[in-house]
Amino acid sequence: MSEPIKHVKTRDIVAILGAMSLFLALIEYLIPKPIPFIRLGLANIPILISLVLLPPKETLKLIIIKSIGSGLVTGTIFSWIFLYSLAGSISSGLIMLLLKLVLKNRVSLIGLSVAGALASNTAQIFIATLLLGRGAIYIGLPILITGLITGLLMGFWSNKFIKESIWIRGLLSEQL
Amino acid sequence: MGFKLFDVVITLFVILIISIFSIKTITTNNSNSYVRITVEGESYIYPLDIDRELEFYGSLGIVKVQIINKEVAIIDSTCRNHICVDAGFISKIGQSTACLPNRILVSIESSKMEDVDVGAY
Repeated sequence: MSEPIKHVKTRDIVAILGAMSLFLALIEYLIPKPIPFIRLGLANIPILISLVLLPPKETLKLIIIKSIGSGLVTGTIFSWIFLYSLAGSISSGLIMLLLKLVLKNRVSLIGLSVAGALASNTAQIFIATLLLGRGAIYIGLPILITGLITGLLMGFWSNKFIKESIWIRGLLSEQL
Repeated sequence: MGFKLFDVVITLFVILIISIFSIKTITTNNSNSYVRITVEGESYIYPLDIDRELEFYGSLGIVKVQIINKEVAIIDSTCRNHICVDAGFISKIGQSTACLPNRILVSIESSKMEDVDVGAY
């Protein structure tokens, strides 16, 4: 009897986290970017959180919501940039889910975030070399390095959020 | 603060991948650049990474061009001023050197031309 209620519950969580990622994508859009292609990845925080809260299928759903949502917010949904963003998000999502599945409790969101950032950036650099030729590889290095730093930052942040949010504490205690 | 074993492992692994990637991009830097030598309107193309000495017959006589260590220079010429020889070696994409009396132009080009200083649109 409790199954449908639980189903509605996960759908609510997806909706809330999706809305959160849209909001964060907007905040990210407002932050000036002195160097193109280098982003904080704020919108990925809800996806990291969903790794802890939701089953893998729902996380994938959230990734699609986040990609389309941030495409709408930044106005890139009908451009090549959307393809980069989608490829990056999906590959990072798959890598994070895989690592979470294999390593379970031996890894926290920090490690998952760093791995996800690497996966996303390599996927985007790969597409860039396909579309623009091998010269695109020279922009890869600064992107990978900042990806490591922002990956660590976003991981710390999500860890902290999970620990201190009353909403999440409530959800986790209900599940137990 | 919430650090687990595999966080450190993954981070170190990512640092390793980045260093391998950076070493690879640095070592294969000039791989797709080439030398274009134009002699009295005719173009000849040579790879930049194979050392060799070339001789061309310009308007006045023999001009010697040397490619060594991914650098190019006109090392000897039959012209009067020898400005071309004084110009020395060039190594960057987009640079050029020339012996005008002999009508010989030597330039380094790339199939991508990504190292140009400024682009105007």
